[in-house]
Amino acid sequence: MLKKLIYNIIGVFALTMPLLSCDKWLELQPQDGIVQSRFWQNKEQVEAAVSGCYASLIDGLPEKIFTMGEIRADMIEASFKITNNELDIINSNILPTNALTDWRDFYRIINYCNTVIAFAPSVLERDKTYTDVAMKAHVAEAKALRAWMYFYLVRLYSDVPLKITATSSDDEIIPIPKSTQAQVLEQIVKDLNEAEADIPATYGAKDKDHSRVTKYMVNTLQADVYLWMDKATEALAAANKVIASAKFGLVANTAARSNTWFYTVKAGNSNEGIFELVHGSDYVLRFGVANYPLYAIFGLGASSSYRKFQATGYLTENVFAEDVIDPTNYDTRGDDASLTTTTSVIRKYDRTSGDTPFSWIVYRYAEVLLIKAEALAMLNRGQEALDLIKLIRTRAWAIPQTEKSPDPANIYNADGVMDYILDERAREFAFEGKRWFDVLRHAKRNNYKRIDLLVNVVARSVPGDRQQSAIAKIKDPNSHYLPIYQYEIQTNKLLVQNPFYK
Amino acid sequence: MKKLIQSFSILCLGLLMGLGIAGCADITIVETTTSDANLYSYLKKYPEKYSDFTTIIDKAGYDSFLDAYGAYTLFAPTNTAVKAYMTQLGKSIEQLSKDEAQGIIKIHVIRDTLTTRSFKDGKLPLVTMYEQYLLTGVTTGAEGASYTINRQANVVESNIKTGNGMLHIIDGVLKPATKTLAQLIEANPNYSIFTQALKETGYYDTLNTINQNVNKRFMTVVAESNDVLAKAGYSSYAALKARFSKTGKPASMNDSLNIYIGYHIITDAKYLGDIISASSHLTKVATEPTVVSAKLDDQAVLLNDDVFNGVREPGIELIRSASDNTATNGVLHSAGGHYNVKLRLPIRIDWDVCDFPELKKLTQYYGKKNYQFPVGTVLQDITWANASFPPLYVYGGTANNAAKRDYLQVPMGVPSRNLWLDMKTPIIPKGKYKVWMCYRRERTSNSFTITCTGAIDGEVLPRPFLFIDYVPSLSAGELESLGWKVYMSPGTDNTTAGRLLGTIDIKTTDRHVFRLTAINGTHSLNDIDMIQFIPVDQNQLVPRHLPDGTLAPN
Repeated sequence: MLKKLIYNIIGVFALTMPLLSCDKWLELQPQDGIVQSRFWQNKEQVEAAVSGCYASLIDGLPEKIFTMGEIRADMIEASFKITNNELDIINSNILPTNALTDWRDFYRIINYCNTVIAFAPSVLERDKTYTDVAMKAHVAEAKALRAWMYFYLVRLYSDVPLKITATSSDDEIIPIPKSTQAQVLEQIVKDLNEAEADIPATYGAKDKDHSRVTKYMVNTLQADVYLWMDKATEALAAANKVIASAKFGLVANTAARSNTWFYTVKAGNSNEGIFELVHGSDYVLRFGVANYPLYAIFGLGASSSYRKFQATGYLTENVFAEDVIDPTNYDTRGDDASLTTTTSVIRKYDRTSGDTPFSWIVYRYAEVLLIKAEALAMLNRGQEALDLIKLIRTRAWAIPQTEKSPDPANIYNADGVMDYILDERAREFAFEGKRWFDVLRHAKRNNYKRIDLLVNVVARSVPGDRQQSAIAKIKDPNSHYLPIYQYEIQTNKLLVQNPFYK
Repeated sequence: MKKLIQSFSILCLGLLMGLGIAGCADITIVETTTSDANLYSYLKKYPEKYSDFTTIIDKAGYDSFLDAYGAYTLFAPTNTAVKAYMTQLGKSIEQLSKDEAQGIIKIHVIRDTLTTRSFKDGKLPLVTMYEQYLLTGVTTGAEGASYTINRQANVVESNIKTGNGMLHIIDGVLKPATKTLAQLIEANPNYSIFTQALKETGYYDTLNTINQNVNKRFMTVVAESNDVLAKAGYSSYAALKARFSKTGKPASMNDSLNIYIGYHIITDAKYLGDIISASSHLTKVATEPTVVSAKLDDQAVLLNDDVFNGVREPGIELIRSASDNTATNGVLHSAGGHYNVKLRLPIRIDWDVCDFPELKKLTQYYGKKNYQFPVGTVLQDITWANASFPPLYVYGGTANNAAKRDYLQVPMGVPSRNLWLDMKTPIIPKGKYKVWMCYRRERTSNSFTITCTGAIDGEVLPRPFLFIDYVPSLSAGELESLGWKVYMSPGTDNTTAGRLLGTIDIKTTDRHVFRLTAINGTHSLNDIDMIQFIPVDQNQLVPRHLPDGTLAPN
């Protein structure tokens, strides 16, 4: 808050300076040096800066990561309030002028993190009560968040500028070129390894352990990053660290077929949640709606005129399917949990009035298990992977119609273990902003051996009169990544546009 | 507090900026509305890339119009592309005549601004100045995916906005089609049987002419190759003629061979992307209006793949790789199988209005319990005037004496509720039918009334009816003469009313649109169970329906 205010004031003066210079009416010295030395004084200010990083996550990021993780995949489709920019992406018509391809949300958070990483150590000298351990923990948190943001950027854009120093004054706004995906991933791994060493395993309170980055969030993120990099051994090791901590488990659902377990998960602070973005009690003020924050994109019940997206028929018919022989059998993640099949309304994040809004679950234990399954499969331990899928399915009361029994030795081919994992992830993490990345990860593995996965996604989600064009486009790996937004290209001459968007 | 400071600082900023400008800036008056270059000037700016194309533009005398106010889309080939084209032509640019140069430019210009957003699997929405459509698509090559134009050039740079239009740079010169449909088919030896049939039926000449009226020029042919015909048992033209030509005179419009060929010609230029965007297309069969149905199943474009009277009839697939060929007067596709007009005689159609896909997918409701379609629902085959009054599916259980024990409740009325409701019928074969509205009589209270009329494809059926009317207590014969019947077995329940709306002459075997229009009153509980189309020469009263959905024995 205070920081923002100061920046505002600096901004105003910085802007007016050149205009005034010819009048010499009011002469001002640059202000930024003073502000920095005034701000980074004590440990409370570092705490505030770290909190600022988290606060910036909840501002708009859930909608962004939902949209980017789902819109190009096959589980959501356009509804009434869809905008042209979103429709263009659904129609496989992405242009650099599409505002949704703007990456500034991610870079803004990265810069907050960079600032903490750069200036927190200097506070050690000024505030004697600030310990080295506490300082390192703060830096570790910022590094983990920065790694998480870059992980989104490489999955969305592939090659992006790698900015790891703080931009705290106008002098430091210098254009930097793109780094390759491999270089950025290297930095992510490095950041996460450094964070792992210094970050606390607990903050002493249950809600803080879910809403702040802990050692286990770092490990989960490592596992996910290593999967993306096709490093199975490392991914398995990282996932095993979370499992070995014995601090997490699946929310139980043993007594009877019921989807209440799911409400426990999304209410937050369950023993399944690893990292959650929490909507504070001031969400009404911040989001301008009395309903839950994502109301604008999902709507509720019959009031379909409010929603941007709804569930696809593919999801209800193929992903969750139904038990035609015994209709009392149902997947507890399907109807009335992730969505309402009759109206196609996405229900995963809704709330009844009076409840605090549900948290945005970034990672939960079920994902650690499925990441582990994927790593095991890559190491040719197919049967162990299948056992983990079974664990997830049993908890969810999955129905026989969606059950598969692939040959444990058939890992990568069609209807193999990997396909089963991908399908199960679709059921378990429906609408959690992961589907597009999942399909892309499976498709690109082994030099795009399973490009058919992406082709199928496109064939069933793009309108018929654009289908063949969309299929031809998706066969170009460059098309899997977004263009650099036009504004960035114009202002930073060092950036080179993704060749697909010529 | 923060807000206050913010607004204060913005005020300061405004004030100071004002001072700054007033203080020392020279005022320059901009005299043009835009500094953007127009199409021609833009190309002129990069002679190293486009000098050859601009030379052709000069030669054609189009430099001034491409630089004048307007809205165009220009596909500009690079120098490399133009050079390759000229080598192929065996001429230099200087040797081009003015007409030739104009021809080259015209195929590259469309009179509208089109960005790549308009590029689909098919033609661009407008013809070029050459009066031929351009086909767009995407191919994936060694250098990644790119848009293609007419399968002749790749787009290398797209959506360049200039002052008077949109510019796309392409790596090949577009070549207009030079063959008519007839010539295109004849040139392919694998269409030899089909070509001979075209000639003998006289359609060859139709397909060989270019109508000067652009609106009537284009046709689409779905040709059957020799292989396809051989598979169907016709290894020569003689075999085909022997099977179809009953009169021996294929040129006669009543001859079945003539009809067979006519059925393979669709009016208008329809690329595959256009074929799948409509459910049926009018053909050139001369004897009567005849349609061929089309749909996209996964990635396959299917013709004549229909459900008729509850039975699925598999159709044929169009071979994508051999389709979408542009001719001067239309498009040529290749059929993956032999197909012909289906002879359908008028048949009684008991159209269960609850039998539509969106409802049947809701297995926990369909045939089990009521389902209120939420406001904002979009159904493929049913539309209604007032979004706030969607239909309600009612499943009444054993107490409900309606066919399959269900009906569709449609709120109708003026001025509130729905003024009209459109429903797409199943396929109705050509013929004369009596149309019966079969409803479950219901009335909210005596203060409500509702009068409606029916219409097929805009042709209003003469008899209005009221959903609130019971079947009068008369004998079946007397009732029929008054346009009434009890449609449920055994014919005693006077709430199961069949009301004759009129007689309709269905001209094409196709799906048609039934429109229900409210003309007086307003009422919600209008329960449509089915709409019957019974050929005029058949018994209009029996068989009646049983609640389990079957027909009662006479």
